[in-house]
Amino acid sequence: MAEPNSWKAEIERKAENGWKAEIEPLNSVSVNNGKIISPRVIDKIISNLETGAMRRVHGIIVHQTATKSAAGTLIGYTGPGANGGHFLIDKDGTIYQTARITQRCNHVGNIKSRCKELKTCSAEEFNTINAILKFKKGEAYNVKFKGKTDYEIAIAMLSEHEKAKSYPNRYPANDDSLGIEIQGFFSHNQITKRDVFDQVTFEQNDSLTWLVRILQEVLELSDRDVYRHPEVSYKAASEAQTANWNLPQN
Amino acid sequence: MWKPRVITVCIVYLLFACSASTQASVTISDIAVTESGVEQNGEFCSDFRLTNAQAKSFFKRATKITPVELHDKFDYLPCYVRGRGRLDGVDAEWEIRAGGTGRLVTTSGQVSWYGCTKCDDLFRGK
Repeated sequence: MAEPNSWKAEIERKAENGWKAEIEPLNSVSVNNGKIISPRVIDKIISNLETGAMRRVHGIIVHQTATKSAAGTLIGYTGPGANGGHFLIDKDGTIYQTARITQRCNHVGNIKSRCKELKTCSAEEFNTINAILKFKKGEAYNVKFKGKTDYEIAIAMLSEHEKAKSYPNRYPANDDSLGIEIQGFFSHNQITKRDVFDQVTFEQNDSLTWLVRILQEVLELSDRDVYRHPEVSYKAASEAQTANWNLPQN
Repeated sequence: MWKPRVITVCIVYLLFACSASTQASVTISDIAVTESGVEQNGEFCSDFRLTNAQAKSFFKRATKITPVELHDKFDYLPCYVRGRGRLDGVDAEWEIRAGGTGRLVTTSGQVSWYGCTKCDDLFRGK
């Protein structure tokens, strides 16, 4: 397992030697039919991941794959009901585009309540959300939740409630966000007794910095529109925790 | 003439072997709940508790899943119940989360993940 903060140490070491991330000028990158055209991006579009046209992109969600290899991730994307993002960044920093940025993908899952997480809800909205979260079986609920636990139903109903709001009053969801998947396994650390994703490599963060900047330019998104997956959904806190899309730039 | 039949038998055997290795439930003996807890912003599931018998039922009904299935098909909820038990004579620690997911770690270092889609009666909020 990688040393904690190893990429930070690597950045500091490289910065001391005058290193800065190679940021390609925007005019050398183009978009064609939803594909990013650049020598840094390898076209691996998998139509199986695309679930329909996406009218507007409000945010970028940074994920980790929980798989052991990029090759395995790409094979998994071809299976029935596959979930995945628009880009995949391998351990060595190679960027694959796996879905067009004009297409919706299933990569987010249930979204949390933004105002609840940020403690900015009005009193009325706070009460509405708390009532949803106190869901107990025996109350009326959509049949699609059959077999799910009370808690799963509660957060699924909360997600539906949130999706009716306009962005940025809610977190971005599948209908209005791009997903960037960083290749990284998920395991249990028996020393710390925590469930952890792999440390994001320096090369992955270098590519992530470049890709986020390009997408922000193309889609007119700000730094506030980029999120780690556990910020918007109920996922393990360590997912994308060591992702850094703000490396020093040339 | 015999080759197609042999190939078919092999394919069926392999399919069965693969599905058995990824889907088998597990029986844990001497199961004992040791703690329950809530992580950040988990007030909504803070009443999540399980008895020893419910925890045993969870692992019996749940299926063994991969980390990517855990990530893609389940939510990782901030409330958990933890405990100890024995798997095939080996001491183990386990954790069950309110979203119907579980983890089993044996003292020999084996880590397994579980998901249950038919345990809703065990996870009834109080």
